[in-house]
Amino acid sequence: MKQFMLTLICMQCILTLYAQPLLSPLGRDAGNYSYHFHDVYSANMHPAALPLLPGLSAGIYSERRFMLKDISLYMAMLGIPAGMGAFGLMVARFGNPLYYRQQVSGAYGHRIGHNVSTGLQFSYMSQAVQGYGTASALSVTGGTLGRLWQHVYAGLLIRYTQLLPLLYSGGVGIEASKDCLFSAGFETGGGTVTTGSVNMQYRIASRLGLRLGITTMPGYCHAGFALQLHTLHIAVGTGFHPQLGFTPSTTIIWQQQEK
Amino acid sequence: MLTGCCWWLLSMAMPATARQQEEALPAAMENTLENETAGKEAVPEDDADWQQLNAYARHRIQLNTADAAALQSLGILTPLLVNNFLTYRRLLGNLVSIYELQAVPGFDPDIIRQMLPYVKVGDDLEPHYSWYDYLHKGDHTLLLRVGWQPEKSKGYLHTDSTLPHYAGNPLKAFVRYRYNFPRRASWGVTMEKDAGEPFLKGTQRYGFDFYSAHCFIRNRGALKALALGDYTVNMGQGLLNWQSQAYSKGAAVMQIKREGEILRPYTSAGEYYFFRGAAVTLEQGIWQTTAFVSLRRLDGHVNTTDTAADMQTATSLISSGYHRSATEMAAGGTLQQLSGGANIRCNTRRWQAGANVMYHRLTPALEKTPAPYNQFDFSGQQLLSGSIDYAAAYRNIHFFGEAALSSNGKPAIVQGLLASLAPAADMAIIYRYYDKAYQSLYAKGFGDGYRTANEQGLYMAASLKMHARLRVDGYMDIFTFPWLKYRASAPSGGKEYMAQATWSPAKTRTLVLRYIFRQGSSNEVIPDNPVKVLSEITSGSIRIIWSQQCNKQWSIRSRLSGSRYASAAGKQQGWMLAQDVGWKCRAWPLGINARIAWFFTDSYDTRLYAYESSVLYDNAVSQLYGSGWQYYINLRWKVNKRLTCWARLHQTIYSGVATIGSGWDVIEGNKKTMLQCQLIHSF
Repeated sequence: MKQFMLTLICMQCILTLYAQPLLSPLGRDAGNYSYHFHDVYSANMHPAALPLLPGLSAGIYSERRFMLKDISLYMAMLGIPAGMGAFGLMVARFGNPLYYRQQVSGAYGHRIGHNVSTGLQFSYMSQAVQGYGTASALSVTGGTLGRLWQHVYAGLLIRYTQLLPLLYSGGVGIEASKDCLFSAGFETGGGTVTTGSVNMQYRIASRLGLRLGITTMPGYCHAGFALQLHTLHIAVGTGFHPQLGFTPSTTIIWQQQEK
Repeated sequence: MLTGCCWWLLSMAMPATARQQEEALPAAMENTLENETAGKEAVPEDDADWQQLNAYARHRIQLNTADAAALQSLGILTPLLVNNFLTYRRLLGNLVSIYELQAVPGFDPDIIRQMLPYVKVGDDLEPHYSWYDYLHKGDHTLLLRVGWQPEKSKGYLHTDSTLPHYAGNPLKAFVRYRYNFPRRASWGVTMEKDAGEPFLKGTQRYGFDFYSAHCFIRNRGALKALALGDYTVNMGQGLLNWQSQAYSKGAAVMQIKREGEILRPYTSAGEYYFFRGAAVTLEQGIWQTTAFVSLRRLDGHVNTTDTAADMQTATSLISSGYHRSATEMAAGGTLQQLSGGANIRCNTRRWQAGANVMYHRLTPALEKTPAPYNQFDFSGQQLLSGSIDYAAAYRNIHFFGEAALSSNGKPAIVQGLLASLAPAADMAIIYRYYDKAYQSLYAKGFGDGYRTANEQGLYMAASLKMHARLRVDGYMDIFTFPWLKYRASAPSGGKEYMAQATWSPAKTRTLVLRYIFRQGSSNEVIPDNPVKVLSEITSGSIRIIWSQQCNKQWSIRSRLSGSRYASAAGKQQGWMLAQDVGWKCRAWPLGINARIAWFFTDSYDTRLYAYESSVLYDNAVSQLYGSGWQYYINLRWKVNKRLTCWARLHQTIYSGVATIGSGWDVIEGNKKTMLQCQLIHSF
């Protein structure tokens, strides 16, 4: 019971402080607005990025939100190229045995010419609180990505979830070089607070990259580094919320070599 | 007598053949002035950087022999660009032509255009100047400036039974003679009298209220710098001592590092941020050492309840420099400040590191009236502090930082980096931790506030060149104040974001869009609560500036500024629309520039700050609130190659008010006028 009460209190705090969406690690979609920074991790946030993956790809992600074991997030994702398009699969689980939220997603993205791609994602989400039963909902996400000019990329995403109003998000990325990406994004809709974000990714060396970012509402910073070991991409990062503290995270991605 | 002296100096100058050239203040400096005015509620009087730029316009920096310090002193180049230039020159040899600057990584046309008036490529040998050259190759400049406000404020009015509150007349006068051979020699005298201060009477029986003199020699063998008289000391990243101008958050998002010479001559009219005494810097190989000592008097309120001199204490230090009323005059020069310090540093091509120490002794001791917000401020007679600083370049990244400790054992730390991530992308990060009880008298570290204490924060900025004609700059700053501060009766924090796009469709046209969002906390009166409470404040400001050089004669600048302020007490906003016009006569050496501005703000909280073009070397920033019109007109007449005159009329007309200002500066009526005349003679 003590664990259950603690979980509820923590959840209340998180929601009150606009901490972050439960199943959305911050800054994870930054790589989508680029040419050289796509991976299966970011593509699962934006189905239009799936066909831009260079090959078969799989990854896992875990984070311990605000250093609390009972509100950890685990994700597994898969990207499968298929001609001019690609399929994506993702499963995610957030919480603990007393309270958890789960999501299963399937997506397909397709290239339209050299500069534009589009995609659709279907998700089934469920939420369970011990003693209070389970609730579930379906959601559909559709979006498009494109290159505006030279090294400037942009994208738009619309998410429809049962019982919730439409959510819109979008962003712009500037690939200053093949090793440096700046991106900015927003999310709004349904009377919710508009959230803005700015991210930077930079490869110091061919095998070592850095990531920095901030979001508004909540005012949240995140930073991390990534190692590229042949086909393996290992990223370690942390987010920082001024009131709730640190959220460490790890991502491991296997990416088939581009032929 | 003064007039006689001036004419004598002018007549001495007649045979000389030097020429006068004026350059406008760079845009980044304009923004710095606006921000500093907003932060300190007073326009800074330091014009040293402006003088330096104009001196370089006459004695251009030789790019093939310039060292890092010379390039930094321009104030235009970031450490990354300086490093890129020196690496380029080392690897590929001397520049053949000024056009070769385009080949240096990071030097885009905009940067080169800013540099061009101050640099040259040609004589490739390091000049060896004799003492004769030190004494004769520079320029003598005499500056005379007077300004007055025709509308008499309350402080100048008397009644049948009382004298005026201000002892002097409303005339503001400034005189400066300076000999300057950039980076070699400088000497001169500065005299100033603020409006309301007496002249040749009362406590000012020697004429001006403020006198300053300096003699400065630089780069003479092992003698890197020798200062006698008034000088400034600028060490590390400003945690221990920084008395010159320093960039903070603003439009120049990458210019966050304090850099430049430790010792600099002091020639400005400000009466606080300098030392008076002697200083020397010696250099041997990669080692450089500096030592200085100063003895001067400061203004402050002294508690005179104890008649015994050794029992007296000062309750505050005053930096305004005003000595207009009996109270201000009584506080003038009441404290004696003995200061001394030293720096030793090692400079190599890739890195530099230094150790600094600073000592102050105040007589009488400073004992501020205790209050919750100032309980960690410096009190006592002696303040000893020390720091170490470093800067290093590794590939495309430039690291810098300083760690300081004051005598109470409290630290202040600043660490930063500047990185050129790609040819079109630069980034800056700076973290600062200033303990709430860190103490220093002349610190100017990077931060949100203007006190290098009681602050922690992280600043990140990026500058992206999206296109040959489009640049986007932005920064974000997240900060906390662990203890109480001005207008915040509890620990607080906040964040600030800025985004700026600069579009230059042609060399002669520029459009700037800037938006700043800020969230912080401040004591506010909220409805149905008589006591001010700490409330969240959000504010935003937008600025759109269109500048165009129409032809050789005409230039225009249009500006729209808006501000928004939201707190628990409600929402307010303010707007300003200004149009500047510049005209240069073809037939006559006459130039005119003028502005007309309309402004409207709901309250003081949405006030707007606008940099103004004024007479040369006069920092002018308007603080606008209420509603009304403002206009000014400046005339510049270049009599001959040596003599230039300025005249300026500035007026603000407020609507719906019967008085302007507050306290002894209140004016009856709704108009406030300022007239200025200036003469500069170079010889």
